[in-house]
Amino acid sequence: MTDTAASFIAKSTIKAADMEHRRKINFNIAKYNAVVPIGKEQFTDVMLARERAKNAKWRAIENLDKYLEEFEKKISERGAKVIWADTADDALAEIGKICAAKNCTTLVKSKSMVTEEIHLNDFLEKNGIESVETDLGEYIQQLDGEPPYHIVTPAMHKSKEDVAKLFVEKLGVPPGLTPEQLTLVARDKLRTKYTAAQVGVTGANFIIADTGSIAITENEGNARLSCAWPPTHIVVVGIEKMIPSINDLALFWPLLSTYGTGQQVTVYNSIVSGPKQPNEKDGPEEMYVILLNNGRTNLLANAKTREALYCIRCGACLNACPVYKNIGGHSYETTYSGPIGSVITPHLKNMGDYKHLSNASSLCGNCTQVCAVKINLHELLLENRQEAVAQGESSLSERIAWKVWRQSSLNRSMMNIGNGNLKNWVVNKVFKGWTTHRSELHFSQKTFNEMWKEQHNQ
Amino acid sequence: MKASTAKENILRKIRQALSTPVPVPFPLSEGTESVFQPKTQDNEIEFAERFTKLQGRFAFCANETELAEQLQILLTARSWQHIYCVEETLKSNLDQSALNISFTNDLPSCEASITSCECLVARTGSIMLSSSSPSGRTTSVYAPVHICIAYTNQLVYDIKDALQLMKEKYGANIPSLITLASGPSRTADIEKTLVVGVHGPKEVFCFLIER
Repeated sequence: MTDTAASFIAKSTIKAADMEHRRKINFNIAKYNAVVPIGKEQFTDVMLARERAKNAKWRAIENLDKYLEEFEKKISERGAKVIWADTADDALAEIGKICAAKNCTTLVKSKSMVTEEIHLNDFLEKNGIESVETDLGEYIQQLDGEPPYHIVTPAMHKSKEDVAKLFVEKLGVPPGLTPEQLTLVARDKLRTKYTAAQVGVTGANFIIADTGSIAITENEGNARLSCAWPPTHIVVVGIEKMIPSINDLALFWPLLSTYGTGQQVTVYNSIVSGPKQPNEKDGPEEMYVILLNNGRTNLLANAKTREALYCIRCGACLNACPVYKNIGGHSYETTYSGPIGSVITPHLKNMGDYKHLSNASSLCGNCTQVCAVKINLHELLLENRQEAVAQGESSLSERIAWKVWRQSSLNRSMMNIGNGNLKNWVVNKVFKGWTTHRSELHFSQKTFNEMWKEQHNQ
Repeated sequence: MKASTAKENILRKIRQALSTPVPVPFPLSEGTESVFQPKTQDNEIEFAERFTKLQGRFAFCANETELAEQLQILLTARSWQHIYCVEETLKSNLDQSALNISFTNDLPSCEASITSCECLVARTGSIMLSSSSPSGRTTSVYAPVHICIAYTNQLVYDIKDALQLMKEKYGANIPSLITLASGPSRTADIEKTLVVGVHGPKEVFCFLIER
């Protein structure tokens, strides 16, 4: 077993038995479950909306090379600079260069999973740059020195009491503050950061080919502020975030909001098409868009896993997943957790270290059921398992076990060998792997085949 | 030349991967008819209802005189002394109506900002703002209270109509920032408890004038 798999099993074993953790998660997800049906009411046919969205993402991904070039051309004409980065290190090096050129000491960041993926904050800290997370959930996580627990709700595993305590410890505020008061504390602390920062970093929910724009979805206003005050705006975005046209936003904005938070639309949906233009009052003087690959072309290369790139990161599959709800977001030890994380991480990183995630599933299919863009997530988990075995990533004992299984299953007389007691003993006592996490198996005394023969006097 | 190499590398990998195409997932679902609830009432009413549901504060004004009256009541009730407004047309309109407003030039310390907008989206109760206005990117988001002055002929039903309007108005020169703003800034990051007023405005007013 790899270290990553051993650590995953250890952490999930502890979390699964942590009833306080489960209470907090169930409380949060119940609130989410209550509002999603309200968001869905805006659609006449939500199934059709999801199917159209999948078709639009299909179109974007099947023509990704052309759309990326179109995007680069259009946004460059408006004065933005596009930088291509094949790996996380390439992206970090480019951001480092820009920050150095701007003598950047303080940088404000809005919520972005891709900057978590490349570990931007660690890199900036090592380079002596203060990176300030401005999304409230991310701010809480940064104060606590923890990565986000959930791709949409970073501090989902913390109760309001946990957050109040954290603010007392880290910010010296009086104890027992309410969520309203805690939010105000964060607002006050961050307000001057926007105007002081030399660089603002945002992610992007969508890259728009036909107008050469990026789109950012948020509720708090921190992303708008991060690309309004600082003189330099850096966008870090995965190449798969492409949509063909600005018109597609009329579908994707409501869909992302409905499945992400149950809102009709989130409070701020912004389209950024370059830095401040000559006739405009304010905005950054310079804008950089870093187009990140970092393993995404591996998913693209397999025609079956390609659709995982259609994901719009609404987080619905995490909220629906019985595994996620029991083991929590941190046990995965990956940037992207839950079903979508289990599907893409082995391809973004490597199969050997992360194949175990595809096995940590009952294949119940709830993720597929709730996916905003109808990605066949549970089938892709199976696909990953198959690919791992084909690449020789299975253990010797697993291979032998399947070989024996295959042989005996193909051979009637072998299946009839021994009575139920003997089989029980073999499965429950000899191969202890089965009973470690399960109750004992009880075979019937005779096989179906034996009973049939007896009853038909053959 | 490293940058162009990275581009070539990525594009090469993409093209190699895409040499095996996959078919369109749902060929029968293609089409352009709306998937959203159709319009059932006047855009003014739909907008007012939706915007209010988002905790926006809505006021209807028959004309500019009524706007001045209503605005005056608000300013007096809140005793606001520092109003930020940098749109000259808006400002001179307000000045002409004998309003007693004390304007400030300092956005960070203002109590409220006043702006116009590109259009209003009735179905979602949203205000579309853009950086092509003299208010730019910061005015409507940094002020603790945002007051938007809009006219009934700026109403459209759905987001797609609003985007279409922007394309027709600006062509290839769309503003560098377009925002669809739906109510006051909010968060639910602590125990999914809704808190209104985070980094953006805590209150958003929309005065809709008949035109």
